Amino acid sequence: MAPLFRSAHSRPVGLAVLLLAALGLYLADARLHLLEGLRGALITLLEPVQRVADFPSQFWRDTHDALRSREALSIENQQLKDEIKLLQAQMQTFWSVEQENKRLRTALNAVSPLDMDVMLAQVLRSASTTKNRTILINRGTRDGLYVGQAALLGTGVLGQVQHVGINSAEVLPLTDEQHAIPVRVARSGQRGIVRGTGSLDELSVHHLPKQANVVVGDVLLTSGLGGRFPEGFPVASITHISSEQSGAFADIRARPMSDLHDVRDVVLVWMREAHETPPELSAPSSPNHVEPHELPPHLEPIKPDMKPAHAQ
Amino acid sequence: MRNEVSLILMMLSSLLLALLLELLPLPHALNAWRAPWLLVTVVFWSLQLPAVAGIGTAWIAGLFLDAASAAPLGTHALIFTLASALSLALRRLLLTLSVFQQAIWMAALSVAQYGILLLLLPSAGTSGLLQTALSAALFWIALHAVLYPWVRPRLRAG
Repeated sequence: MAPLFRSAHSRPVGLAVLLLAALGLYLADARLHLLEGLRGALITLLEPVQRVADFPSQFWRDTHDALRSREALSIENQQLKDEIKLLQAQMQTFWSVEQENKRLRTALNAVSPLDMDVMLAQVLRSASTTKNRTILINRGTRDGLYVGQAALLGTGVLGQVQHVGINSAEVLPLTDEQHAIPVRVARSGQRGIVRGTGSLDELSVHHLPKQANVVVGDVLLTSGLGGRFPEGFPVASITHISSEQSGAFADIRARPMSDLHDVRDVVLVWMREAHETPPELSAPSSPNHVEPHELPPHLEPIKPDMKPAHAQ
Repeated sequence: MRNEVSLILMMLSSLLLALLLELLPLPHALNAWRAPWLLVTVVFWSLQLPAVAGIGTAWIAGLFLDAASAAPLGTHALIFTLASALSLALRRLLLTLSVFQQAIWMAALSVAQYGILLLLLPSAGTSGLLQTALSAALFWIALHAVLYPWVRPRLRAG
């Protein structure tokens, strides 16, 4: 029988080569992030297997949807219509606030916020149903997705695209330990970083000083710093503050605005002119308000319409 | 010759099936009990068909699992290569043991997998270690019961 590969006991050199190759791949991917192309190719190769693996749960979902009673559907339909009317009413106030905001920005000579394009994607596999902690969606490089792209839900931030194949991509949820996102407190404008803890319901908030003006229930919005996430989207609400920890910063816990257990549709965001604007300027801060702990006054108009629209 | 081809085809399709099981979504409660499908299948073929399914096959299978589980590339390639090489080194001893004793070896390998994962991926954690070891042993017995009667006559003939 002709061996495809020589076995270990006949060639220890082969074993050493393979182990070194695996270690090399690991270092190049985990430490240097050089292998996005190879991973994209592998994900693309795995797509058919992935579709087959997802078929049972997808089938169950579809039949479950199809078997729902007529009354239940018409009730839901009515609820959705009511919701649309409510949202339209809110949109009107939002529009006038937006106009006012633009006018004030031009008066202040501030940088105008980035416009964004969006695309809807369906979830093929949600987090924590396999060993894979990412969320798989049905859009890929063919639709123009890129690594690091922001992914949102209707109620708040979901995370960012981690790996892209041709027709699918993996989204790292913001609750993952590897994920961090710059935020500001909606009420006071203070800046911090939200990190994942590994649990889908808990986040930890870093770099908010002990004397920071935060209370339980405060909403954290994306600050737009770093240029990855669009500015002003709800991320989490604070659930727990403890100042017992030694050091200058308080130990703050938060809960994501959106329920990450059952995610079905994801909104992907493209920010236009994202590369023309330096990241520091993508957050709305005029030159005379660079002090981080000082409250930027022009953040105020955003607050009133953010809260009713997104608070649960 | 025909036996060889059918053995190789069987090996490839069982590896593909194991990969599919790795990608199969399970409810949260069952997820901890997920067996290391691909690792068990790779070790099975390393022992039964060492001339074809060596450390190279293990390496490639591991690379695919890395892509499938969003782990850094090379992590499972390293683990699978080591598991396959160790099993090959102890092949003569392992083949004299009963299926149940081999299952204990499989459980030990899946525990070792946790160790290497912890080394390479500090966020991996050790939750579900016992469940995985137990399900690895059970899957080994099941895989053996299904494949061994099919493999054995073909190996003898080939």
